[in-house]
Amino acid sequence: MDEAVQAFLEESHENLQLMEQGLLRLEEHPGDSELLAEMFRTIHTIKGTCGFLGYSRLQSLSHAGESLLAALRDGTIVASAPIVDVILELVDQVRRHLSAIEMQGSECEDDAAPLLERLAAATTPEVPAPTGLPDASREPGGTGDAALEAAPAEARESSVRVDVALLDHLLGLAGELVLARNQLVPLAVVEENPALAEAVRRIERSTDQLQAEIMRTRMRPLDSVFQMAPRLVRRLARSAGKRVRLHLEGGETELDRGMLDAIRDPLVHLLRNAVDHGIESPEARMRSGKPAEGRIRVNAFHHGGLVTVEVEDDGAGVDLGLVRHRAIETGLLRRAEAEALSDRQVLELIFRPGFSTTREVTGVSGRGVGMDVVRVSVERAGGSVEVASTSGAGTCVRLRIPLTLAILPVLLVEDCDERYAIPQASVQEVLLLGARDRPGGIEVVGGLPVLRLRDRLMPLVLLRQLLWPHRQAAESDAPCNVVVVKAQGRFFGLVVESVHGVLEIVVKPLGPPLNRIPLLAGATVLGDGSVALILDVGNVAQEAQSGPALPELADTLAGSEEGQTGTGARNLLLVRSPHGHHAVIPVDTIERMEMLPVAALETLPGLEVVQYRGGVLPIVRISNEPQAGGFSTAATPAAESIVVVVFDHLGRRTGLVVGDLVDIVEATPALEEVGRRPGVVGSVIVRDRVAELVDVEALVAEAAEALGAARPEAGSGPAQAGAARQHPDREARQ
Amino acid sequence: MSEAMQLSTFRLAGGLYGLPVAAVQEILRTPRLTAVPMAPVEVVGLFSLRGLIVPVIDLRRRLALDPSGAATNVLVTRVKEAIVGLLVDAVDDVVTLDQTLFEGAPEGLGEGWKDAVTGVIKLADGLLIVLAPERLLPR
Repeated sequence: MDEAVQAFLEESHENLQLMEQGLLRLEEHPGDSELLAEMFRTIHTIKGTCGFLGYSRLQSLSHAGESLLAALRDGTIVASAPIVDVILELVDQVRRHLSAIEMQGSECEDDAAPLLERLAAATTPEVPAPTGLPDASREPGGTGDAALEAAPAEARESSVRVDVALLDHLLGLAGELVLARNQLVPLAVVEENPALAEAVRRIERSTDQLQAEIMRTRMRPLDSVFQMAPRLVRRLARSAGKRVRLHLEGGETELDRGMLDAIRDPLVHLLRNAVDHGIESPEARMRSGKPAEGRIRVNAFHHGGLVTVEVEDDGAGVDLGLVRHRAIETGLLRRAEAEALSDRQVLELIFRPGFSTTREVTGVSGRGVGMDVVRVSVERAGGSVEVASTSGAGTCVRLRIPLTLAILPVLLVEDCDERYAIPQASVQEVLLLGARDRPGGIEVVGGLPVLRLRDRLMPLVLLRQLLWPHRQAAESDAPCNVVVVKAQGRFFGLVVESVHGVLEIVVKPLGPPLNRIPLLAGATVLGDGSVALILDVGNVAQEAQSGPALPELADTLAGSEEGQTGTGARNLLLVRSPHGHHAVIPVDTIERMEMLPVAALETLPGLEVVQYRGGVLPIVRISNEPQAGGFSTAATPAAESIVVVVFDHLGRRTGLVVGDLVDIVEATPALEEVGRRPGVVGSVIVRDRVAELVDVEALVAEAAEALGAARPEAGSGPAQAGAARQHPDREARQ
Repeated sequence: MSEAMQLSTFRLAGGLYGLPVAAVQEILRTPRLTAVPMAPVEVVGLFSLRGLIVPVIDLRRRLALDPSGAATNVLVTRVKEAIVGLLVDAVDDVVTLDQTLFEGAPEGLGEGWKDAVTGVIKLADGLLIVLAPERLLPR
């Protein structure tokens, strides 16, 4: 919250209390001019500040109150009980506004008009009892009394101010209790004393609850950060001459207060970027067949112990060509380097310090403080940033942040008899590499170990070597674990002896001089009471930079791939499956691509068919698709029609259902066995993505067999078969 | 009129050392220590003292003494908010001595000693070297 507002709230709460006390004294001494003057000043102060802060309702209320108090002070009216009542009611309503400002950042919806009328009426000397207040002792005035007893007490309770440091301390103590509990539980089991066991069980339960509740005291809904978004976007859009609709979802998701502060600026930045760089002008949008009004969606949700906040726009997407161009122009990369980068690597460039594609410095963005700032602040808070962008379709930035600064989900690993915690937000995956000589495992590039993982070549960092460079490495042939970590835009594999699993830890700072060790982010006490160090993955990434940096690595990759080009480059149709992941089909196997109404599908036992060109076309789907991973936010609505790729193989037609046609690409299918299963030969890397190479022959053969089994007289029009459905492999319809 | 000073004494590489009693919070048997990479050499590790992370200094290394020797105790010192564990061979005693016996640190002490020693006390059977607890942790 704005400091000025914070100060105003605190000051006003105090002032209102003074007003209340004053009013009560006023009933005993109706003519106390000094008291009246003091109360006048109090309400005047409130009026002045809320005018300055732009709280119009509060201002008009306090203005009316000021007039009434001025009349009292000047003696034109006398402080009767009804008048005191109406002022008390004013105090209550001002309080409601103040708590609304505190909770939601704006005044509440209370209708001020009736009260304003009564205040005005009371100010007029001719009317002894305010008209709107027929019986002060009973009705609204009466509720005023009730409010005095109930509401302010409630307000006081709901607004106890507690120093965050105290909450931190409580949280630390609760963490201690949890550790002591963990030590107690096994001891109690040994004792075999039922009374002790029961007591320990109760301690166990209470400890968990206590920790959870203390955590909750620090939690606040994201709404308190989201609030600023509508006005911000409206203002930015207006000044950029764009039309933008903002959707906010998941504002009820709760986060640690400190975390909210940590993501406020990044969120502002991302919204600016979305409006300024993402959404096109209405004219440009119309030209490319989009609605004139752009859409920005901010969505927050809990996922895997972390909070994910996505900022997604349906704008132009990141212009990778322009990014490349700017990277060369600004001297960030040499031309050859820039051209060697994959699309994903180019996308990473936007996180480089000072990088901006906007030439003109607008009032909104383009000043070269951009995505790097977002990344640094999010990573500092223990989170991570990913970006995905589709040219012409939009950009999605995903922040993954821990729920709290104090409790951190980590992956616990072990090396050299010590345990280390790696913040879970930066862990991508964990691999177990068997013997060192396993193919597809570790390779050596430029004298440094690298791991080839799917489409990536990433430097390997031996944790032991990084932390203990002078220690003699114990030779071991034990299988090693690679924790794939992403930090500061680079992926690297951290080689450790063993991986213990994920747990939530209480972060404890290291005191001087240990807090200056860049590789460490702190320490934590594990369940057995021993201390584990928390790695600062950002700085480990920096350290890993002594390995091949991004461009050189790209060169290496390009080089190794060039060796293969020229032999067997094929045209491949890149499609997105209904489940959102990518597949490629050799173009030379494709006869046609058709859009067919779902209603035309008919079901035979074990097979779906459709009448097509005077015959029966068996329809197949790729079975057992892996979970749609990555970033595809493409919804798969219950479509009315399906896209079918028709093969003509050895005179037999077969249709394969695909989600979307993406493009035709020329590529060398450097096949890997990953994902191999019926209908899929394996995986290839196309356009920086893993795509599955469809096994056309197998699909056609399978379909023919199924068709033959289902209806030997195929060709005379399918029967209406509502009986036994297909075999489970083909049930993968959404 | 002389003031008494209370020292907590301990053995280290054959010598007798002392710290003001007020600075010693507690004495423990050496717990399992977590080694800290990239730390100054005299910091041998960390342990958790009821949830507080306490760095432990190997006094032998800090004072450039013969590094071999079995340390059995950790003296937990607390000066202001800083808690530091000191690895010592064995805890000796708590002694009350006349302030007048206390002499300032002799001239010409070597590196590592100069800032760590506040003074010496001549006892019948040898020297008691008084250390400054707040100056043992490397900066």
